[in-house]
Amino acid sequence: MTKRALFRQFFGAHLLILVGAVGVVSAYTWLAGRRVFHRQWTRELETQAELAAALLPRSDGSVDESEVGRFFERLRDAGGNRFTVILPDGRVLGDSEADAANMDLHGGRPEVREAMANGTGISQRYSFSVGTQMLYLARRVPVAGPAKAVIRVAAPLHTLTQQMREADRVWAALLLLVLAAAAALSYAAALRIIGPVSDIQEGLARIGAGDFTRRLAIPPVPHLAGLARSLNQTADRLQRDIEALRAERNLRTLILANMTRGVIAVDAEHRLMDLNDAARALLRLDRPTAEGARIGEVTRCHGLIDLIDESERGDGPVERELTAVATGDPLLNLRGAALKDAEGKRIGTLVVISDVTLLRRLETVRQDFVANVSHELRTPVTSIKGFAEALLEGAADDPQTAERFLKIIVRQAGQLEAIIRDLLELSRLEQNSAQTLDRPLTPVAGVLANALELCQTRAAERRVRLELACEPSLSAPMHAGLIEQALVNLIDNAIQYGGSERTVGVTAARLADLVEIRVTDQGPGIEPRHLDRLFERFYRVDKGRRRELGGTGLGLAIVKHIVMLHRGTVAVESELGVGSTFILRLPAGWA
Amino acid sequence: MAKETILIIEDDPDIRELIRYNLTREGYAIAECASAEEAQQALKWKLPDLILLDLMLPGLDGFAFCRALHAEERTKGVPVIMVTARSVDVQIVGLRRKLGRHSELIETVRGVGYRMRTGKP
Repeated sequence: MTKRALFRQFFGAHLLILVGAVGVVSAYTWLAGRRVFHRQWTRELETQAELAAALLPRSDGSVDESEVGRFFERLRDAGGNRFTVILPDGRVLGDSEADAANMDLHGGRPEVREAMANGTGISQRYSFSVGTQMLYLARRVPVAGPAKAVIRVAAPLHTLTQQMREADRVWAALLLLVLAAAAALSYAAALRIIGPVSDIQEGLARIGAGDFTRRLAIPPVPHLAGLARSLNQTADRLQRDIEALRAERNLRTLILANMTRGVIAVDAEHRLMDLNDAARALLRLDRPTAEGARIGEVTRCHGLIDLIDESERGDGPVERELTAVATGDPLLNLRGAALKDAEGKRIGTLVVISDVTLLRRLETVRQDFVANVSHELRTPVTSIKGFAEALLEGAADDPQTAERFLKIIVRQAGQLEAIIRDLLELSRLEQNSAQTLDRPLTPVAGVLANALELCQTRAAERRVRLELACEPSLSAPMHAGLIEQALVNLIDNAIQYGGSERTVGVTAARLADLVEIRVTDQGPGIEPRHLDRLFERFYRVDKGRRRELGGTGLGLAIVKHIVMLHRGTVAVESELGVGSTFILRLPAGWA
Repeated sequence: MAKETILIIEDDPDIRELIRYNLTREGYAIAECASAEEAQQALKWKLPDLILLDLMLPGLDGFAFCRALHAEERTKGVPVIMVTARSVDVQIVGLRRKLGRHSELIETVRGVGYRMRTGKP
């Protein structure tokens, strides 16, 4: 309600009550006053008539007609009201204002008839002889016994009404004055009350709408001041509570949003209560989800729904591993537990989702590594031992066989040595860190040239052409020996797998704050599924192939470690039938 | 009695030679293949009495070769010994109950395998 409307209502009601009360009281007193006035006036006329009757000259109980003439002359001289004496036969004996001889019989006049019968008569009517409304009062003379005459007093009514009007005027003026004063007081009171009440109302509406920035002003009216004060206290407490709640909720939302694990809470009807971004991402929920939607409408992941069902049936937590929707999606670990309220009553289910793809992959990597390393070591060891035994058991008797077997033993021992050397190299690299590694600013071109030089013999064997493109001014902080080793490994691989009579390209260029070195071959390329795992130790694109080519299976793992020590990255791009490119990116500065 | 034929499927030439040397000394006829694909071609000509199979092969691996072998009526009776670096033992994979007359042969080969691994007679 606006302030104006509130004021109108309040003040209007006040005014209505005031006017109503004053109106009823004044109407009553006004009417009563009139009655009293009228009675008073009639009484006066009565007294005059009585006086006149007493003064009327009489002889032996009847009216002395000769004396009446003089009596009326006196009355006429006295002025005032009109007096008339009427005989019982209706004849007018005398009149204070007209000649009695010319007057009609007055026995029929109502007041005269009444006076004859009862002693007194009153009538109020229009007088044609005077031309105005008159009040007549008649009295029998004498009052007791048979009538000898009737004396009548007539007074024009306007003298009475005139008097009364004058009184009314004063009275009305007083009434208006009182009303005006009361209205003014009421107006002032309304102003005093309504302003603060309206302010309190507006303030409360603001607070109710959640605006806690302002408080109610304390009005000068004592009771309202107390009210405003306690409302302000309530608002303070509300604000504190709401802010605490909001902070708590924000914190919870923040925690949920920043968790890498997905969290889903559903109530007993499987309606969503909470769902964080991680859960959205892990479950591949692209569309926004409405709060309160059923979980079945939100996701097609049946495993999740089954898990919630299962969790509801049992008491303990339920765990399950599954892929979200399509195969190829990440492998998820889902853990469902009952959500219970303070009384321990089950209100829903909480599901925590973690992406265990990497974990499972690491397990696979570890298992593969163990299998691979044992395989890689077993082959040369088995050969060395087997052929040595064969020699002992008689093969040595044939010099040709003996020589062949010994050559195999030497070659396999060499392979074993190479594997052990590379493993030691890796372990040495792992013990280093980017902080402790000495990395002076080194011209890149020189390192590239050295690496190519070292690979020249192998390239010539396979008739592979080596091409180098590098800006002479390019330099980067690096451990020249290690980078040279990484490049030799890469170039060696490119020569091995690129196919004979092809070209291996080595280029280096500045790329923003990086130095990028690319080693490109024209080989058959590598299938995309291998690219991720290529830098793992002993990882084989094609099982068995590397043995034939003489590698240890550790070359790329060493490259990766060397680059990591330089805070760089290594990547591979490959297209089947076109070739592969290994890319080293090293920081161009120490930043 | 004709000499039993053993088909060795092993990509490492040194290991292949080692097995061949030992089994020849025991008096078996030896056929060699460097890959599963090569072995599948060889099996079209002649069925061996036993196959010694390396699991880690380039191209088609040992398991796939075994499945293909058992899927075909003509070849599914051939016993196979899988030689694998994944496990310490040389496993006999195949239909043991069907081995019948081959059991002696298998025991011999296992003996060879055992000696090869441990050096004990």
